[in-house]
Amino acid sequence: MSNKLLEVMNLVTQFYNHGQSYPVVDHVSFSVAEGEVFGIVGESGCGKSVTAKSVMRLISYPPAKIIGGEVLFDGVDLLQLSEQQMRHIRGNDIAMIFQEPMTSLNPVYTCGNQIEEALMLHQGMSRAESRAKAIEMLSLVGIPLPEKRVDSYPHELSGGMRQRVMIAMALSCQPKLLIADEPTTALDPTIQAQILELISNLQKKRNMSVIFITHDLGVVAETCDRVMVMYAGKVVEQADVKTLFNNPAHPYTQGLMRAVPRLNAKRERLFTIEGIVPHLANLPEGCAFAPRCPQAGDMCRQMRPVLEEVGEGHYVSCFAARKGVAENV
Amino acid sequence: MSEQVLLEVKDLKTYYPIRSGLMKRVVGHVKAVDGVNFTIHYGESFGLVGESGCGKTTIGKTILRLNEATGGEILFDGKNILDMDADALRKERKNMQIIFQDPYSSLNPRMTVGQIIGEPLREHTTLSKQERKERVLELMRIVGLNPDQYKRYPHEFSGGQRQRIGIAKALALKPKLIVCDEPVSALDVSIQAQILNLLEDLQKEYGVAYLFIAHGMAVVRHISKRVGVMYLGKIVEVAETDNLFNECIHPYTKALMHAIPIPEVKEGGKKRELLKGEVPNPINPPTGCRFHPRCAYREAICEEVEPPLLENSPNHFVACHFCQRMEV
Repeated sequence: MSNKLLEVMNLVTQFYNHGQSYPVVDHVSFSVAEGEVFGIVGESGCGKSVTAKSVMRLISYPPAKIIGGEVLFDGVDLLQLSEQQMRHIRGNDIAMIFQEPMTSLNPVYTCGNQIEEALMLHQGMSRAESRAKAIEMLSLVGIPLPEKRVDSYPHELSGGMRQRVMIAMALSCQPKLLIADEPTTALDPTIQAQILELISNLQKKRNMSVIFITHDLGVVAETCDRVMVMYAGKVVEQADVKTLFNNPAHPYTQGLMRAVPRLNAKRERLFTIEGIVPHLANLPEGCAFAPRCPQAGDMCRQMRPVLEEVGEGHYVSCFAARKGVAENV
Repeated sequence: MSEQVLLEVKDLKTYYPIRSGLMKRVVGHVKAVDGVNFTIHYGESFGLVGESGCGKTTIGKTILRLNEATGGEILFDGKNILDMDADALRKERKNMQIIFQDPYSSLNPRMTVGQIIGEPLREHTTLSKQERKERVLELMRIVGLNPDQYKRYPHEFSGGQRQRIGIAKALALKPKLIVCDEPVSALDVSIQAQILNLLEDLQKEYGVAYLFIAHGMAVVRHISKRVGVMYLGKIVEVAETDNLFNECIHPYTKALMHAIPIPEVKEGGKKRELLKGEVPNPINPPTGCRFHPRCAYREAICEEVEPPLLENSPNHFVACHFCQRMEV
């Protein structure tokens, strides 16, 4: 593997709520190489967004606190930096785009203002320079008439256009890492396709690393190089995208793949994962997925499995999957 | 399956007035639904797909008269719903129910599950309190809820369970038609499959017809027997599901299918045709074919003449001037 740009080791983020405390991100480790698109998939409440926000240190206490682990970005542990040092990195070296393009843009500033702000702050540009750059960025993300749109307010734009403005803002300082948190979930399918292609083109052009957070397996298959699947705050499987889709090892990953209705498959009864995602405050003893798992045995209900390598670069945290691999060899 | 028509929608138009100025005069109309025709047979599920703002939800609501139509006819069981007075409509509503997209905001937080599911029974039947309770408990069992939770409030349930409450309520009066307005869009993948299976089981068991509204092509394909594709208040293509998905003709339908990311990894890249631009403003829809500004195949005629919805092959209707050519 080429140079690791980001390396997260044993990250633990805890929530404090009604006198209870429970980990939302539980010993999560992963790395993102330069120029790589890394996907984080999971259902709501699995900790994927909190993982990303922990990397950016956008976690507010209370209710949440990062209590352990390391986040090495270019060799520097972000968790040890002061808030001021962190501010230089945020928006400059690591940028983030969010799911809701309406609520993440400031309604009282023009789109141009919001892009210029980052440029003046991080790159020390003058007002005129930053305005020219903002127009250049807007045309880069495919906004028609960028000279006019630079003076538009967010409410004057459609959802897809707003997401383009978010992307222009995020990329204006040439970040090395872009974190995209469900960037297309709120968009219509034809607009989603446009935005996915835009992100992927810009990523290649700039050889940028991207962390792509989504719950949509289709989006993962089309955009990511490597993927990790999260369940109840833990990583249950990690592999390159081809291995994950052709040869998923964890019963949860397998279930997710089979539960999605497809455009091309035969129409038959959908496979379901029984039950619901457990609340993080009272996880079952043993494997968190055991109560819903068709392959769970006694061991799964008593002991927590750990992430282990079952193939090259393919990590799974499951007793049954490991046994299956051992039997096949 | 019986081929008797349950619902017939003829040239339905629903416009929302735009009011402006001090006197709140009507200055224009959003033509949310603009001349739509389709039929649903007894026990059939008819899917309606399209992007946001295409008018699919408005159709669902207009059929139940939660919105007033501007023109056209809606024949339900042979009776025109749009002509009914309040009394007749109330009686007829027993036979049509709706399930909403958002299971969080569509249930009254101050009512218990038992009250929510029992409400239509209280309104429309003469059952005694005890009989009602028995029926509610039975409904809870049918949709996979634990009857012990009869006295719980909606906030104590997860999204999937709340959607089950909505389904139980819709089912309480044994309706002939349920309008399902994006019933799984707000749910997680693993829960979506549970709800889709439940809806299928209920249809087999009770013979209820569904108008299934969604923006996810795969979901619609899974549950519907026939599908209509909407764009800017018009149906641009209607066909049997397999027909539509194997040989869609309208350029918009094609673009919609291409746009959906497929959860598979294939060798040799994932190039596809992308649709340019965005859905135009429904206040001033484009002249001629409404899709022409985004269409890759457009010609002069498309800008001037609106293509009618014509039968291209048996039971496959398309509104496009060049549908013959598209097939090639």
